[in-house]
Amino acid sequence: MTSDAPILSIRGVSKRFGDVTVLQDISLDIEPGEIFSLLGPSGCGKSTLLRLVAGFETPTSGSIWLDGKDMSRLPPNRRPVNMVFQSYAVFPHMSVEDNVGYGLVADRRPRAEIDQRTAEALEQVQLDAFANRKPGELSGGQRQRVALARALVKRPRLLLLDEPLSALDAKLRDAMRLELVKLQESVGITFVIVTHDQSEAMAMSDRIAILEGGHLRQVGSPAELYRKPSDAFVADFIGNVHAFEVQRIDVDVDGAGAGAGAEMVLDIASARLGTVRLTMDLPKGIEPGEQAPDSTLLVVRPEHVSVTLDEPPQGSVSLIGQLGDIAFQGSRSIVEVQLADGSGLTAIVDESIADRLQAADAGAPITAFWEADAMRLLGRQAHDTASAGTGTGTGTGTGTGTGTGTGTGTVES
Amino acid sequence: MATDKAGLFDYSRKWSLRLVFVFGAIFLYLPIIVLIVFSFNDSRRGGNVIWKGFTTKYYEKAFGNEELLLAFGNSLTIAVTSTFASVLLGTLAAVFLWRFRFPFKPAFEGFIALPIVIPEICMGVSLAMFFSQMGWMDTSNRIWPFNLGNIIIAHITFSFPFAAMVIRTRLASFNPEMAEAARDLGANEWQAFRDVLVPHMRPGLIAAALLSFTLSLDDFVVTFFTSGPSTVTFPVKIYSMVRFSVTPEINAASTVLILMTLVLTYLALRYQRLAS
Repeated sequence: MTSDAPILSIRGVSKRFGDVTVLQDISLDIEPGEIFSLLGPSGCGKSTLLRLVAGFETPTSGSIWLDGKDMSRLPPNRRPVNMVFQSYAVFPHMSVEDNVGYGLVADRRPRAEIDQRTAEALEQVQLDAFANRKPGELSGGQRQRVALARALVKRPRLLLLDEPLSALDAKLRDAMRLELVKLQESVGITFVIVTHDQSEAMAMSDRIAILEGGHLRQVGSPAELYRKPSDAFVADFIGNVHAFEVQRIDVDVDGAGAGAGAEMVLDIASARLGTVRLTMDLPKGIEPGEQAPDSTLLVVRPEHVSVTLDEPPQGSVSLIGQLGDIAFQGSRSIVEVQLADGSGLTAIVDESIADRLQAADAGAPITAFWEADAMRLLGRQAHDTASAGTGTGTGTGTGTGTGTGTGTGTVES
Repeated sequence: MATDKAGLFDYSRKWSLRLVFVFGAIFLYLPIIVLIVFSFNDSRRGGNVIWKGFTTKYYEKAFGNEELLLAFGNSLTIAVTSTFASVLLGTLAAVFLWRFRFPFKPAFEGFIALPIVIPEICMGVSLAMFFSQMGWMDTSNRIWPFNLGNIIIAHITFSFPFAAMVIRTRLASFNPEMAEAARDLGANEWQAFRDVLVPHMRPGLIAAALLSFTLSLDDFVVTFFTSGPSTVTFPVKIYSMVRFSVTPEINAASTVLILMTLVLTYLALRYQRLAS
């Protein structure tokens, strides 16, 4: 096996429960040894995707390949994949030791091997002193370690973790997050993590897949998702954005470059911002000319927005409003700007600016501004992300609904 | 607590409620205590509530009464057999109702619970009619314990719904992720059932078994309608003895039965506590 072959390959997988489509034509590859997160709001289908990989569901169409073998129809007990459940699902009537050894007993390993590997796994999660306890005598964090050890002892090709940190309190969560990453490095097993918490996913993952409404929105490293979101949903989900509707895009002929694919100068007309001139590629799926209402957006992140009581610098994009609340957060402050049309804008500014604003009255006229280059032009939804390749071949892609954002099935287990 | 006043739910501190409790207890248990005490009374008539001196001769007499022993043996055989069958059927029904979705499920659940609400006399009559229509009523030519078949079948029909409902209630608290975890770790469907679901159901299984056993052991109405001359059970035998004459022998036999039930309940509770 070559090192760059994916360990898990999900090819054109769809899942329907009755009339409800929970997953629509998902294709993605997971590389050996990485921490891969499935991220999305509740009801996006991420848990169903994990259950498909574990074998608790079978895909309605498409297939799931592990190490180059189709395992779509294998029952869960015959897949070299183990899962840490959200509820941990530690067996209450068995001791910690028996819980951890259960998978090896089911595999009919010899007793000596079971004892040895169980002891090793317990040591790995620092529970060797608790081997003879019952789960009822353990804390939530310790129970999770039992669930981890129980899965790891089987030396799976993939370890699936369903919302591993959601049941822990804030302090324990941070500690466990670091520990999971360390554990993954030491055992070298590929982790697939389901989470709805974007900061958790960003901090732990090598790569993240963003799901929404049963569709795969984007796959990439945390930095890629932050810097180059493929659509407005991803941009807003990975750290917030302010979005402005675009009415018209003109390619400036004078400034036009060498042609298709190269960067070009665009005059982007927005009702709220006026015309903004950007030098960039035209994103896939966006055509020059009139834009359908609510389909194309200019976005900017709050951390790129600044505010001033005076004139904004030349060449920046600016909006005039009134000073709202200032939330002090140590080295930086979050400033609310009330715009004339009633909407609000958030700017994240450093101490020196915040100090100056403190002197001003609430409601004082203020200008929010940012560099034009900090803005990105995005479609509301990228329709054809990553779903190229295997599978259906029927005219999907164009038929998906625009505008609604969230919406299809909310089957979450 | 330093306060004199009783708290809102501190019922045990209110005198009026203590009194109610004492009267309730007397009402419930005094007849049983009298029954036990007068099983040792040296009197010829069991209905006689005048103490004539201590004796154990009625116990000897009861244990020497072959017909009574036979009836007792019949009752135990029926109870044990019908308990096993009821718990087995109840488990299957409960798991079926818990695990699967199918059309008319609420109606089906209602039908299963029907024997609980139907008056016993109706069940007795309908079962008697059924057995006589099938030509099973005459059991004198069948060897023991097959001559008890009718009664066993009858007892299963009324105790199985209780077992099913008790186990069903227990299953409601089962986390399905437990079974999935077992499957994920390499167990097949049967192993997951045996290793995870059955241990979870255990308190329900024990409760169902106790319930079925006692229901069967002291059933009179249904048994009376479905038993033949050669298949007398303990309650039916006691009834015929009472009609004949009330002697302390009946008290003695009943006391043995009470003792057995208490020991059985104690063992079941103890086992349950050890398991959890």
